[in-house]
Amino acid sequence: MDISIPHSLGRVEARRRIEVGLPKLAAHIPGGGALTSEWAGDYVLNMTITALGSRIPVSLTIEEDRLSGSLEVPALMRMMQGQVAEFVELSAGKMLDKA
Amino acid sequence: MQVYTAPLRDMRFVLNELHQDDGFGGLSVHEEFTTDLTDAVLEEAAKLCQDVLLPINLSGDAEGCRYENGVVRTPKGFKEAYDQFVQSGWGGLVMPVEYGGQGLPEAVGKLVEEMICATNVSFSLYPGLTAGAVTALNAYASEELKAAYLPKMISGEWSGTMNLTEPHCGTDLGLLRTKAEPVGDGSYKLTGSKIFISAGEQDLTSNIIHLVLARLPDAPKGVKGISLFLVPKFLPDEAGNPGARNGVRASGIEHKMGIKASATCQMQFDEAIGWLVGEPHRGLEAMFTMMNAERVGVGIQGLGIGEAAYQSAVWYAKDRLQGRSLSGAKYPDKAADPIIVHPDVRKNLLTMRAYNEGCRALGAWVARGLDAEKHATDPEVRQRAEDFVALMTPVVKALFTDLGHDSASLAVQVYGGHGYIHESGVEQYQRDARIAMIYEGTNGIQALDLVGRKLGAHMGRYLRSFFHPVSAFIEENKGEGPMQKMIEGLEKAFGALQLSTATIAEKGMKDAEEAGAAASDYLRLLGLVGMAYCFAKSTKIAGLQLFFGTEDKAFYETKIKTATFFFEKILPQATTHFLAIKAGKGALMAFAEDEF
Amino acid sequence: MVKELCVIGAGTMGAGIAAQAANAGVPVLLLDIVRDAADRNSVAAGAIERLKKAEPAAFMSKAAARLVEAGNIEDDLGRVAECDWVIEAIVEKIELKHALYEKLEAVRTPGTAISSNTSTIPLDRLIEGRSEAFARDFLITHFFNPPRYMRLLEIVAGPKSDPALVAKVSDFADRAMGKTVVRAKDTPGFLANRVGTYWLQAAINAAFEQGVSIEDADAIGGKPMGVPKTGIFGLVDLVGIDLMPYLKASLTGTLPANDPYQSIAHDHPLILKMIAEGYTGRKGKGGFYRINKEAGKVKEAINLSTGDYAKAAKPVSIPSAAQKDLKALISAPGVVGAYAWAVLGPTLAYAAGLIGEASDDILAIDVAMKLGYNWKYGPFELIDRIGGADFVARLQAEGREIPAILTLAAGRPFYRVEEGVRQYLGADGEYHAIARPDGVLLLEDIKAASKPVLKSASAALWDIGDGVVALEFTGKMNALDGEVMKLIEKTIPLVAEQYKALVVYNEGSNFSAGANLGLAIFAINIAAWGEVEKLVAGGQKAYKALKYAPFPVVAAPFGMALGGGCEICLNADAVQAHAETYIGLVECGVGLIPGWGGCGELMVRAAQSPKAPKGPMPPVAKAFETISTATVAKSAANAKEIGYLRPSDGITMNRDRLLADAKARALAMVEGYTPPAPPTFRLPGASGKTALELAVKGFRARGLATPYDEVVADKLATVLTGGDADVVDTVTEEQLLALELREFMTLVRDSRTQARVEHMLTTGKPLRN
Repeated sequence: MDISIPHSLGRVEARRRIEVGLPKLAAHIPGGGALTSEWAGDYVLNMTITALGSRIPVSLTIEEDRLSGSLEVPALMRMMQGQVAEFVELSAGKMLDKA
Repeated sequence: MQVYTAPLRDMRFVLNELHQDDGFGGLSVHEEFTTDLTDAVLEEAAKLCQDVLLPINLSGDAEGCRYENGVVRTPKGFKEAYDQFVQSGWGGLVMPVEYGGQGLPEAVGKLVEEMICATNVSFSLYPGLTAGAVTALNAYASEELKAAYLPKMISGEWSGTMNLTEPHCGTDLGLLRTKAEPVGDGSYKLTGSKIFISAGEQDLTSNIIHLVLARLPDAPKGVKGISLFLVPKFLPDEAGNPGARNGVRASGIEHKMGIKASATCQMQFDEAIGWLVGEPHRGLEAMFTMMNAERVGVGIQGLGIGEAAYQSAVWYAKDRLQGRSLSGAKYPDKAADPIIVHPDVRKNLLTMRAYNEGCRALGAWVARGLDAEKHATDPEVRQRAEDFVALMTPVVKALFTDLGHDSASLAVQVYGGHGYIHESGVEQYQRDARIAMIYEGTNGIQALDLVGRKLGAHMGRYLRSFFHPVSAFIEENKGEGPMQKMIEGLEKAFGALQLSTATIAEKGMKDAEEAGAAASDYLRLLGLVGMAYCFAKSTKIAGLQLFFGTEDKAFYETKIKTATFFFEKILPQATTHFLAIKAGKGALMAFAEDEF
Repeated sequence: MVKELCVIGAGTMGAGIAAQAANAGVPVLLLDIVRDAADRNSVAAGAIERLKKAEPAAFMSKAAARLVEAGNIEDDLGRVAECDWVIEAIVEKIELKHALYEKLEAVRTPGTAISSNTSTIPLDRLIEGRSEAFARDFLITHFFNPPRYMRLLEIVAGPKSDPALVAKVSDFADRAMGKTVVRAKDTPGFLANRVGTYWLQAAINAAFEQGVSIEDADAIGGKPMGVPKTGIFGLVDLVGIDLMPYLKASLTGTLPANDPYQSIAHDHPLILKMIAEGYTGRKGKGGFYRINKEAGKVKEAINLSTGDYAKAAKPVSIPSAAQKDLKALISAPGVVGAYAWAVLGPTLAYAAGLIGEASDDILAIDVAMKLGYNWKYGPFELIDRIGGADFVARLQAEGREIPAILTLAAGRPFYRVEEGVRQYLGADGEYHAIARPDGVLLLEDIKAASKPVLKSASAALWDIGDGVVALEFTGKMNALDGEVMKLIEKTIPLVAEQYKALVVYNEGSNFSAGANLGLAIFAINIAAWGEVEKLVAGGQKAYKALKYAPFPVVAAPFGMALGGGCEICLNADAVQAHAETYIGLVECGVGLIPGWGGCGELMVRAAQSPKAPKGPMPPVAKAFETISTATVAKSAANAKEIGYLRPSDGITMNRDRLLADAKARALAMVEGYTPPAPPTFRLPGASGKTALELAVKGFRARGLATPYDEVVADKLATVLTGGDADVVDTVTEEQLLALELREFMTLVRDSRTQARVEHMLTTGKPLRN
């Protein structure tokens, strides 16, 4: 499932805001969830959202004008793929909004 | 009052969300059936059942069928309802497209069946028996016979029946006596009597196509000498329309405890002309292939009634004002509180609810297996689906009908004294539900089929299709987290099931009576674990939906509460059955016959 | 003893006898006529080449094949002077034999045994015209086909034969060639063929007379009577229908006119027609049964009344009582009882009638039929199963003559156990203890005379004397399960305290086919992974306990010793194997790997082999090759070649001597015994694994390995190379066992392994997925 979050911050600023926002995001995951992340290169972020034992790998690439990426949900979650994508887009958007 | 609104949200849940990870492919196997399309089908079906079938349910039970000189009249409104039913194409919903059916998957078909049975079980038997006859003909009849009969049966213009039982033989079909003599031109003359033939005669269709089990002149004794024949009420003329009257007639109808609007006939075959379906002497085989699909259908009857009984009971519990809540008046401005405030009433209601949702979830999984065994492209998946359906068919049939009847009885209880009165509508549910525990193989027979045939088949391979997914789910979701308690409960019940399986396999190999003694407890235990697995998965999905944000919060939150109820109040029964199995056959067989 | 043998006549029997003597480690000179002046030994040499390719194999090892030398009777007859025993196995023509014996008389050293493999010519006719000295050294030694596998040897001594010489030949045939010697009188057909020919004739006659189909005859006259499932007509197809008139002619020609065989020995026109048309059995284009290739390899059976072939029908069903109970069989309703009695009645009466004429010993007749025709029960054992009195009564009701021995028996059983001793009824009407030859110890005798020291559902422990106990597997197919392991754990402290040594041995049809896969697949099917792990870990623990027990443990395998059955031998201090032991680690064939220490033990043996190159990789590669191909040895000698058995392990040729030999081996190790030191392994790690993976890819490319074979081989390679660690220096035995367990459990959860196990259990054949 592809995700896309447009922004107008330029690559460097976008990356800085993501870096700052990640730990806060991780702390606010609802009960039964966890977020781990790893930078694979300067502008590529690999995350894993764990919710109720299900692991959803998310990979984000920070581009000049948008965050692009994809996520893969386990079979059981196929019907809520869209919601998960929205959740990621929303969370990423929140991180980008905070200065 | 008979209250019913099809539980479409729960149906869509089990159809689209719950079983995505079972590897059966499901609806994606039929690419043209999008969720939008199937959701629309369910909605339309709901409307038909609620608006057309439900209103004639109670009246049909009151009036019953009438027999006059070989003619059987169905109750008022049934003919119109039937016409509307077939004109909208509901008769051929899951039937093959090449003969005019809609080719929908069973995953959808069984949900539609549930709605029909919830609103009018008697009515469901007319198209239901036809569907059984169509399945048998489609699998075994010659192309010629199929071309001549299937299109009109699938469209509903003609109906079908299954003629097996005779006065002296039901379970033991090897004893049957109906004879078939070859005429010489490829047709046969059948002579004999059959009883308990649903829809054997009726005033809904212009022709009735009877499938009849009979013996050929040179047939070996016992079950290896039975052949299957097609015997129409009216022999088709050259144009394929009903022509000459054939030598088959109803000699009377039964006056039954329930399903009174279903015409259960005694049939006489008097040199009636018929044609062989399939190979000589292999009629029982043909019948049994069809019976497996029918058995799942009978299970759905139980589920449908259970849902209708629940909704009717809920309506009454909210409406009926009696006494006050144990924790203080909840509606002080009313004369009394509705009885739904009471824990004991809630217990009855929620038991029904848990049974219904658990069976619906389990049934949806088995329906996906029915589709996958026919349509999956991967032969390994097809094999696994076949194994799964073989294993679960007796469970669906016996569990769903037992629980459906329990729900109906609980509904009567909730209604109190009024429940016992015909006009209230709920006692009809109990009477209608009772037969499902008996026909298509009594529930005792289902249990024996499970432990005697299915458990040991292919060194126990069928078991894998159930045990492995459940075991994997437990392993994946064990440990801390919101689901911890539920998984522990599931693990405990699953462990009891594993031990019981080993016990029965070991003891049963040396002594068939040990298997027989444990059979019905084992079937119930397997059913409980199956429902628990479905409820645990439902909880996980609901939890994930709530986690990621959904507009449908209420549905998922309530689902979790129903699941919690099931785990806390119903699943502990697993221990009971496990202990009973462990105890063995001793207490049963210790009695000499004259001590009874 | 016999240090060199000569066999004259390189036909099927002669060549096979030569091969079996070579299997005993004795050099053999194989002679035949000169057919090609340019290549004078071509006949014998050609026979040796055919022996090397024979199916089933004639030689037990490559070394044995090198012991047979080809020669011819013109140039090499003089070399019999260096031989201790000459066996004549030429065509059954008296003139040719006489001519040969005359030549032999001239060149042999007196004291050299001369024997004939004749089946039809009486001894006194054979030695006509020979000197007294020749007659002293002459006897008949009648082998059965094929000489490697058939245990029976009928020995007929002449009135002038030197008893000491006969004993010497007998002893060699027994101990070195592994034959069970039965002494027969010089009567036509001796014992086995005398009864066997009568039996087949009576059975064939009855089928024609009663209108019984050949399928029904074979079903009734086979398993329910303890006869191999080829039954009657299937057996005749196997030995060759054209042999029948030949055997008949020789017996009718030599038996007295009033012998009961004479009255039943007639030809059937249909059978003569079949022979004339080339339907001589399996070697030809078919016989009573044939495979119709045009109709799609359909098995067809001939109709005895019409002579036409039709698809072989399912035979008549035999009531379950009659399948096990001979009394019920012969009185079963319909064709089953009628045919069964028509076969058994006259045949058993005929066998009983031989006492006083062809033999004085019921034991000899029973052993002859059991070992010569693979009957489960001999004729007198069969009479006991019917009940002597009932049998006699039924014969009398039909007006048949009652043989003297039956009258003498007066309803008493022919065999009984009296105070723990097995006895038989002698021709004198008295019971005598069944005496075993020196060096023969049978567990069945011990079981008749004592109770087990320990017992569980699948195993038992027996005191076999002199401080030695025997661990016997008792489950179906001697399969190994948790119950066996539990008994092993209980056995060890008991033996340490009260006995000196342990032998692992049983007398089933096979030593052990391995772990109980039926139990395993059941546990797998219900996802009881903990139970499966217990099965593996339990076996590891029990086998290691045996390995490090404070007393000698000797494994005595025979027949199939597969998987876990092989591993128990690998963990024993020493192995005393029967020559016909088919031992191997077969786990890869069912999608698993050895889990009870087989991987480590095989590497240890490979490393200890004197021919092994140095370094960590060669033992790994050798073990990998053997295990991944699920190699099974074709004999104990072959097992040494492969590396399952050590060079120092012993081989017993005669099945009856296996237990005594194993016991002696164990006792010899008691003095100063210390348990072995646990091995440590230097394993090549990831680089070694890569090398093994390359080898497997090569197999895949050549179509020798399936995709799943590659997956299984990968797990095996992980274990053998020491696991996932980068550079592995020393791996302990414990660590290796843990690796075995881990990879085993991974494979067991794979649906492809599950499919392989299920397929093996239901069809007996491996699934190549």
